[in-house]
Amino acid sequence: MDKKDIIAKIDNLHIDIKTQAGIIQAVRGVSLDFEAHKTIGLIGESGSGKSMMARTLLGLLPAGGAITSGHIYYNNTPIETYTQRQWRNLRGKEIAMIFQDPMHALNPLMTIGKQLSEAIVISQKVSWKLAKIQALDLLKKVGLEATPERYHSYPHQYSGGMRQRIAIAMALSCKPKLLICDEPTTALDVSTQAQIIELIIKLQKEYGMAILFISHDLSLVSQMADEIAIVYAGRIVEHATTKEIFLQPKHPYTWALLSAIVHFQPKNEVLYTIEGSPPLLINPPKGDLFSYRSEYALDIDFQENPPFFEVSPTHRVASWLQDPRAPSVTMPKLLQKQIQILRSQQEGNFHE
Amino acid sequence: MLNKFTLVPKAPWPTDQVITQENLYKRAWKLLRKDPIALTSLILIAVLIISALFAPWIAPYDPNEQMLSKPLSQPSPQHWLGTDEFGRDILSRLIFGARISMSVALGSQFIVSIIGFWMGLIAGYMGGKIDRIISFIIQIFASFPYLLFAMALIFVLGPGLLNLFLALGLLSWAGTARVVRAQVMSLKHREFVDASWMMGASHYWIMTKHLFPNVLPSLIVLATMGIPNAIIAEASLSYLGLGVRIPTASWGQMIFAAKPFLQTFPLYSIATGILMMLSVLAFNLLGDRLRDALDPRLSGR
Amino acid sequence: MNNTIPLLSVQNVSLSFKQSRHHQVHALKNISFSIKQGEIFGLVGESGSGKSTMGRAIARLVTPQTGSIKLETRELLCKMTSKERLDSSRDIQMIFQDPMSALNPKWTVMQMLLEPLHIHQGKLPKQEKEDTVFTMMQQVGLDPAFANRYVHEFSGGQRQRISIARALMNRPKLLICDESIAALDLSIQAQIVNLLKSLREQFNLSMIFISHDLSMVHYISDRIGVIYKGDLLEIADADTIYYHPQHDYTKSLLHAIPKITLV
Repeated sequence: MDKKDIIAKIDNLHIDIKTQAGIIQAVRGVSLDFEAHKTIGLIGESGSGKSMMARTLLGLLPAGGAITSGHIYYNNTPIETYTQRQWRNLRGKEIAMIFQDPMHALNPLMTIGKQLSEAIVISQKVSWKLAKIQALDLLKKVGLEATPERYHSYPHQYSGGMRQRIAIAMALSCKPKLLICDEPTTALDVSTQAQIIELIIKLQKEYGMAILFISHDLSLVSQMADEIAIVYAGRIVEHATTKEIFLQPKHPYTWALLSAIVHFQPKNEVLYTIEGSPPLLINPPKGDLFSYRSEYALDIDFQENPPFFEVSPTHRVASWLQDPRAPSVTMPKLLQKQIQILRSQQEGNFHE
Repeated sequence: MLNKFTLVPKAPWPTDQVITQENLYKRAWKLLRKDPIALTSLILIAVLIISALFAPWIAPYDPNEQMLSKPLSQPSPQHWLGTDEFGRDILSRLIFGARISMSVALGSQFIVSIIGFWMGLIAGYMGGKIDRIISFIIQIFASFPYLLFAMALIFVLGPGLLNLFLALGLLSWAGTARVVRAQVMSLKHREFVDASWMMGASHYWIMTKHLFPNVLPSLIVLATMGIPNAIIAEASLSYLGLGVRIPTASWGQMIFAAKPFLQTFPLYSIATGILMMLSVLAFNLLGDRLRDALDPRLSGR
Repeated sequence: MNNTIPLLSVQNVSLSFKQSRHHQVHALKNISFSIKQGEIFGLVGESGSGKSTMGRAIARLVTPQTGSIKLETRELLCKMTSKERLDSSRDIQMIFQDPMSALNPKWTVMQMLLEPLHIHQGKLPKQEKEDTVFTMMQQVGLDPAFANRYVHEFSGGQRQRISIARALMNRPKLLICDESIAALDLSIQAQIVNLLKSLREQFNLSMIFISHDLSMVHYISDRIGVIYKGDLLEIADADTIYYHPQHDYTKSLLHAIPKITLV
């Protein structure tokens, strides 16, 4: 086995957020390793805790949010207790983020060239002249022309897709080791989305950073991710390589997410829906919280939180169904058909 | 022993719950109740209004009754704040003065709200030429030197309570109109207005049933914050002799009357001045807290 | 029930508006299509394509410069008296994208759902109106017990249900759904789409489903129109568009849909 180049690690992290309504346990024991050149896709619905995980990697928890236990390691140094001052040395320099709305990263009153140069000057401590050259180079890398007009233009002159490219340039200006993408394409058109994904893949090959790609769209994430982690109610319920998630899913929530992909569903039938809604994590009950919505719940699911069972060296599932004492269940028929189609696509490499 | 690994049949999910949040006004009330400053202001205002309403029953003496035997007497058990230069009980005059101040303040603000609302609403909703005309009118009224024109109007109309309402009301509606206009201009693009229109609602229906309730919180705050100005304006006009006719007690008049006695009987001016200051302060603080309490953005979703 | 007259007939509709002093935007360029009764017509395009503008033009919220839009035999693009507008407004209703701004935050659900009845059936007794509201709430999957709650107390999906209920109170013939599910979570999107499909059966509705999500549009629509920068490039039935597109742009749109990639 090659020695893994682990850039960052989250170890059994718990995050609580104090709100008027009570203390929300947003993240309840998550562990992930981030390797250079590899992308982890994080899939979950709203309220699953995936955004909190992203923000905590930048020290950007909201007011009232705090890490209650667990560790975050960057280059083997624990950083979960970092002060804001210490975070400033990491944020935007070693760890960068792209947001769903690129305007979260861009100053509407500054030209894009100046913003880029400024970011480079601050993170790499070079002269403005040198920074300007690098900025133009970055613009070219993200697909914009490296011309003086572009340099002196403002964000509002661009469409959403182009702004996202500029935001990506900003994020990469410091040559980060870890890049977090929080639903960067959700607000974009399909064709723009495809271009941005292509761009990120290309840049990862060049810069070699580890990427955490957060989304709710499994199909989208499959294009980029080497591994996929499925999050529900603040915990990872399944974590495997992309192939394993689609071809050998084990957790009922993963089955539900896969069944819900519209593309595979026949027109003459009702769309697959998961009954109910994600739980509010204030004083959550014990156990696997998806069992309240699942057809495959076991008695023990309501009493004890399932540990991770290893299905393969790269595939772990937090589900009591994997316990040898559990009855064997089969996944829904439609999902089995879907998997068959995917397998034959894989083998024949034909387009459907 | 129960096998823990048995499949449990899925219970039907209870119907989608609804998160209860209250009505904006109920919530605002709760917030205000908890805030000591807002609460104090509310209590003070309540005291003022009750005094104003029940003045004849509360005041120990007739405010106009002259007891010439004891002019400018110091505070005593019979006259808690002493008597003025005509022997009239100061406390009673202050209480009746509250009547004038409160009625002018509330009355003129009511007129301001009505004129300001309709002008702002029509300008914002109709847009185009009508907006330009009304905005122009707003500009004119906003540029009047307030007090000077109030004085001029009173000269023309003659002193008296009703004319005071009119003068103050007619001159200060511009600020309210501007705020309402701005709000309406952004509200009219909201989709619920489109939805109503598509349903066949008339412009009038949309303006009164949809836009008005959304503008109401601002109107309340504006009125509350306009009251201090009205109180001070009334006092100023009365000070200048342009307010209510003597001998009706009015705070402004009393300050004027107390001027010669600043050194010999300062309590006369101080008592009046402090009462006026507290009233203005109470309304200002309440208005400020109300603005925060009624702000829809601060109400969680 | 098979009419030969199409329910909606759009002919040569063009619309442009001034974006700035010197810049005219041609939002719709000579668009023509028709919708049969009981049909769900999907209008798919990217942002700036003009699909929402088309919806708004049919809803009479914006006015095209040229062309004709007919609901059965009645022409919609003409000046109407207020009575005529009142009559024709019963037949076409719209569901908007943003569930938050589509409902008046100061109104209760009951008030929102009574409004269409007040405007068109004012003479009905109060009790009957309220009963109609309760029935409708159940039909769209809302608990009638919540009728006196304010709109902001509901979730996004529930608010869309309220919008749908409001639109259906007067039994319109045509329902325009303008990106009605885009702002919702994926699992809620499916619930709303299922609801719309079942309501089509129950109420014998025709629908225009405007969206940029081609998979969803393919699922729900009978026929699809693809629009790009104001031009209607291709119309065919849903399976044909999705599996055998003719126009290059349609092909590129389909190609861009993320497909499951297992490397």
